[in-house]
Amino acid sequence: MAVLAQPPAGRLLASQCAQCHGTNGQSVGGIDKLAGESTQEIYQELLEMKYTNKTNDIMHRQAKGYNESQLWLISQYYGSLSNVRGSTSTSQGQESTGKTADDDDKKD
Amino acid sequence: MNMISRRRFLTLAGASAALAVNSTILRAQSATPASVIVVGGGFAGATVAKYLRLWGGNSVTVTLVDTNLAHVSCILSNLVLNGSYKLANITFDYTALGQKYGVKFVQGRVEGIGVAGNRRSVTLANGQTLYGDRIVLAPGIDFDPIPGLDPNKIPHAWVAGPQTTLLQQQIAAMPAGGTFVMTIPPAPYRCPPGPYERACLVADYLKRNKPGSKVVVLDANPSIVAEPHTFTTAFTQTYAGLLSYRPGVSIVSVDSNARSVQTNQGLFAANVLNVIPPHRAGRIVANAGLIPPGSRWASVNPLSYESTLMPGVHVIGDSQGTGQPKSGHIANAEAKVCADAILRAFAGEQPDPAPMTNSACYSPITATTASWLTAVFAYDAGSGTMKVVPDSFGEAATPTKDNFEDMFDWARNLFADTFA
Repeated sequence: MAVLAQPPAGRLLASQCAQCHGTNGQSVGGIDKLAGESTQEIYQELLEMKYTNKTNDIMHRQAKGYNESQLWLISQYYGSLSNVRGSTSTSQGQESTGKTADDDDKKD
Repeated sequence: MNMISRRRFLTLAGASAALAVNSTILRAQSATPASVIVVGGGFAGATVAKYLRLWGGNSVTVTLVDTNLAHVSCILSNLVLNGSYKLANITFDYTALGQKYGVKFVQGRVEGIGVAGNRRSVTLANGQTLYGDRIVLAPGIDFDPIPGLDPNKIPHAWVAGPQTTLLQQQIAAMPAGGTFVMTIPPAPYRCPPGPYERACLVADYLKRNKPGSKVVVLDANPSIVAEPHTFTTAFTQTYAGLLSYRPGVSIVSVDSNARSVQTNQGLFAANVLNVIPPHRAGRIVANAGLIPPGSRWASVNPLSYESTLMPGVHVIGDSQGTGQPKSGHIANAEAKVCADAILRAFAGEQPDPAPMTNSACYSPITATTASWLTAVFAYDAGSGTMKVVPDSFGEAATPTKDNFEDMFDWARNLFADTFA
């Protein structure tokens, strides 16, 4: 019944981290979880990796692939998920339905 | 719970506002969900099925069709060859996609696709026809025929499963002092570092278990295609005297009983022969007419992976021809771009104008060390193609034990993000 409006900003960009960091940032291996981190924490770490010249580190390479506004959108998306931590892993495909960036800002 | 209610309210409000824009919305508003049929349940197909439901919820129904009940991952499958992994460790069925996300699974062999009014159809070998608003094709690769090559005797093991087992058994049965010969197809092929990784792991296994054996690598390419620093070092130092590498080798024919391969650089006889034939897009993609003349791959718009030759049909993973590398990790990445674009299309919207994808992979170099390779790809509006962001591209400085550990953490998350 639902028709999606414009998807939340950053969702598609952020989903590109999930191959290594888990669906919605819920890592199942030894790699860092992103869900539960604050937007600022993630963003500062990404900027540090983007602007330091440590090329023998896979995340330093990855961070150099995105511009600052993209890194901010990614950080904001994972920062917004911290409030609903754990709920997405039991999803029936419902939780994300129709979720908007605006929605995230108004979280209880 | 009230959060979900609010979201549903916002969703419906958004839909009403957009009502005049697109007839798709009228249909969706009248409670009929849009429908997508996904053909092929590898990394690309499983991911697009999962994310269409994760993001689209009940606005979309998703049917996944595959000939097999489970997918055997090529990723980590070279570890089966040296006996350190079992196929069961890398076999993933579609139960989680059904239970957690409501993806319907149909087992069957797809014969063809077609157009039925506004809808698309998928015909199965058993005569059944499935209908959907859009189709996503993710059939992986097909191989070129090679004169004399019988893959039941000379395995490629480049589609994981029984082929992997066959090659593992042949290697295990190899006499000490024997010769393992493998051929690498011209790029682009599935998993750029994969053949070199295999050469290393087989060399490592033979060194420890079959003293005096040799590995001969016959590469159709003019030089090492991926991680040249890592693999040049491995071939010339780690496996010096054991492994010989020859670039620029093209295959003329294979004698499947004698286990020999005739090439432009002469005849090579082996105790175990592993021929990986040149690749092209999967049969279904070719039969549907989605490959332009002179190409081996489907022509797609990288914003949505929609075919440029057949609207409403998308091609992702190894069969697509955007020039991005062919691997499970990036197939997963493409699938998310495709899922997002399809959901936007159902809502009458344009795709994200600036999609990003990335590739990251770890390659075991010995039984205890691994390297990595990574790159980020950005859409370039000027050329309409996905391009590597230069600073993002690189390989590990040296193979390490830490990388070997990280490899399993990477794979666990990639497997879960795709199949669970």
